[in-house]
Amino acid sequence: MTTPGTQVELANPHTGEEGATVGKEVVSKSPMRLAMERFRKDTLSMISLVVVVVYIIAAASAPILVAVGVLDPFTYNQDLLNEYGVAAGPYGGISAEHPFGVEPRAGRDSLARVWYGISFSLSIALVAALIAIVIGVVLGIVSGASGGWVDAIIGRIIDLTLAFPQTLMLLALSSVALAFIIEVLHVPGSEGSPLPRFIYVVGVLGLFGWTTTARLVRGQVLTLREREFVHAANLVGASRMRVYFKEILPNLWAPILVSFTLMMPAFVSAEAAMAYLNVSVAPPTPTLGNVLTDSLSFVSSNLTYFIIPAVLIALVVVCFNLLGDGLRDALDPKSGR
Amino acid sequence: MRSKLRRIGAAAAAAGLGLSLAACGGSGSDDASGGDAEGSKGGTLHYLLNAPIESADPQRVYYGFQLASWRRTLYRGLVAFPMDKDEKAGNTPVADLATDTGTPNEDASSWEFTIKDGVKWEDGSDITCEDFRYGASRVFANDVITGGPNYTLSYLDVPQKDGKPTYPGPYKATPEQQAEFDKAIACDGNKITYNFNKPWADFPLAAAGMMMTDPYKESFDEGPKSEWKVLANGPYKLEGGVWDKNKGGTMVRNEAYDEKTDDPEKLRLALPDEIVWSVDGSDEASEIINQRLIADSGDDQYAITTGRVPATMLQQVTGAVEERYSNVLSPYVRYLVLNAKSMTNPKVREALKVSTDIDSVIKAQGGDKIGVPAESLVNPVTPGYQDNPAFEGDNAGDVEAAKKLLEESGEKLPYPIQLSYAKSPTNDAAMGALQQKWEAAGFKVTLDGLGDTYYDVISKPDKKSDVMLAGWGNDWPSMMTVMPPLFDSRPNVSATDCNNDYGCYHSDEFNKKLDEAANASDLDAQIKALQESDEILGKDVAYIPLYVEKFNWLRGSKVTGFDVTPASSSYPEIGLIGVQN
Repeated sequence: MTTPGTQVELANPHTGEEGATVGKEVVSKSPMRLAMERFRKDTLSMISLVVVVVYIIAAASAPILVAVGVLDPFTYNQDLLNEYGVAAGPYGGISAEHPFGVEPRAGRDSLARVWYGISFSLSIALVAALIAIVIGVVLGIVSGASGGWVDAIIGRIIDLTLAFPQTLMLLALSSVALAFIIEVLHVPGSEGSPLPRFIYVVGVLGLFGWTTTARLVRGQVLTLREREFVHAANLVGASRMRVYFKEILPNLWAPILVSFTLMMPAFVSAEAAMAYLNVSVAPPTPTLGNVLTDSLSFVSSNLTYFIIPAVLIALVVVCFNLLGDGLRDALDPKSGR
Repeated sequence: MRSKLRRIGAAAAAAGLGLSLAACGGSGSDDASGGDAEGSKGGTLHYLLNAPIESADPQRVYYGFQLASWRRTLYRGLVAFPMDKDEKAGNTPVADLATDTGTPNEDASSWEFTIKDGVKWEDGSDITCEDFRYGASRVFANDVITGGPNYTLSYLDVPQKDGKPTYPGPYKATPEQQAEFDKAIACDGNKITYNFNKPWADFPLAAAGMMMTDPYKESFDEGPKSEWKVLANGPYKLEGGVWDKNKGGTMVRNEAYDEKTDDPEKLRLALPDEIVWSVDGSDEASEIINQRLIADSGDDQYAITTGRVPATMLQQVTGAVEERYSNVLSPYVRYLVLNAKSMTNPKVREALKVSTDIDSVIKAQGGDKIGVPAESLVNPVTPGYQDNPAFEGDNAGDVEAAKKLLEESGEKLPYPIQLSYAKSPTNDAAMGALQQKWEAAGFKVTLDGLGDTYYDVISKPDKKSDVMLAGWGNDWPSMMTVMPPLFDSRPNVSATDCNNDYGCYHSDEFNKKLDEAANASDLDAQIKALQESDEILGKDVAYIPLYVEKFNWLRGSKVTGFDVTPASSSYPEIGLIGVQN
């Protein structure tokens, strides 16, 4: 892998740092700082960032609030329902005690349900996105850096995954997969724990969601692998693992971050779709998708109950997307939209 | 309704979607408005079906609404239930194609009927005793004539092997087998005699409510290809003679039908000149149809439907729409079954019973327009119904009493139970309501909502479920179609399957009462034995009744005479309904 010229560069390792030698009156800015400045100037992205942070705080605090009893997403309040089993009172039964009203049929507190739901939805999306990123990045780097038959095989695996009739197989295989999770992996499921379905949803999203990341990373690696520092590392006999993950990976954090931020909203809405198809975490455990699905039949009799989860899902999806776009613009201003 | 209630569980659990499979049970109606205006002959009635029917062949029909409404239009039977609103009269068969309601021998193991003169098929040919015999014989060919009730298989006196008849139906029978069958149903001119291998005291009820003993013309039969063909003998015939499963069909007047051979006042007024049946097979059919009926425009003004008003739409039924609305008791009872294999401690069973919060379940299902608390597994309109003493009293669930019982039981608390049910949003909410009260009393409840295969899962003897949600309606108005199919361990329980006895309940004392009832030669003795058998079930807490379902019907503004009767299984009584001209 060594090419002529690398020896020279190795003898003079600091040639890359031009900024350090520029005159004093010009403030030197690291690429990171430049990116931060660009990002701060983008109002829409900043607003999105705030919203996303609020969601994350809400998600993190929900289990604690439920544990100490401030939020109660499970207790029935059927005395608050009218004769049709829908919240009595205007706007879905909004009151001081139940600021978002109560849900039909059971009378559970809507605020507590969606708040706790945000926690579940975001953790599903987060874990799934981490899985997808890890798989995508590893395969992308290996594929791009190795080239040859390894690249070809990984490329075909990506094609295969993309060609897989996901929705159909997911529905058809859900019971088999759940049985596998409970009986072979010994995940406790019989006590009504949402864990097996959580694992199923996360697994499905993660195992099918990595392909775009892998392609993106591979593309970046193709340009990186001909760079001098990679050649240098190869020349001094660095192991493949070291080249991949110590030399190449640190240069990829920008596309990875962007791809992660764009994956989150996709997975939040994918969870909602899976809830509609009855394969997500089962009620009574709330997720945003569960609550939204349940509310669909009450659109005509209790619009509030439908609007709340719908708006919450829409908001988090839009804001994560805007944030992702903003980050991409800031980190890589040359790339077109 | 239907002994194979597997489907009702799935269909009705989805909150009033899907045709229920009611056949002939009784009903009581609160405020079914009698007549909007006295109906007169003529006009076109539209019947909007919210699901496809299973077959147009009389020996295969098993949907309750279809049995009832086709009895009024296409297929007459030996006997039929009258369109009487009174529970007793409505559940007592009257003569239809036969001259009377049949003469039994001493122990009711043989019934004789005489077929009326002048009754004809739509092609003009006479309906003969042989047609009746041929129709009944088709039921035995379960490889060709699939679906439909098959009670006659265990009753008709034909040679049996391993408890099953050896007669394979008319398509494959050898001449000897056919000769043996012809002895079981003997023809003598227009006299027909049914010979059974045991007493069948309520045979006329079965013959009126189901179509398994209806006549069928042999020359018209094409075996499996007859599934959608109709050869009518009632006041209507099907235009084209073939029913379109996904679209429906149009019924027009049958010229071969002679009103004089019939009793129109009691059995079928046959007011509209035309009845257009249209099928909407989509999942949202009930919502769509009822929105159309609320809008009440065009042909929908002349429409009735099998799609019940979904609970979530009931709030829209106000003002002028309310005048076109009926809320009636249905023949279905929802109940919980306790697994006899895992819930062995009587105190625990008792504790579960007293802490069952029926009021909350009904509220979660959509309120008192959807159901009323049940005091027995038997529907209140079934002859011989009585409140089961074990389930009287408080419907809100008594947590304190249950706590005490659980402490006395000596079991480790909280006592873990798994509650299985057919998954739907309403059932999720309703079962969650049960969970709250039970957990307050000292149970630890795991909710186990299951998909399409629900009834297959809970039929298995080694299931993990401790408590199961089920639903049932009788096949004809007799408790014989309730307790025996659901709790008799002998036909139900085997090593691999508990069938309809979901709790794998077994009690010799109870089985003895059933034998007493089955061998009773008169109805009163039968009813008494069955009442006692229900008391045994209550004492053992084999089941916990939840609620009697109610049906919610909308109709178009130009529909007249809308009503439900015991005979129509609380579906629209099409024999009474007409349209304004």
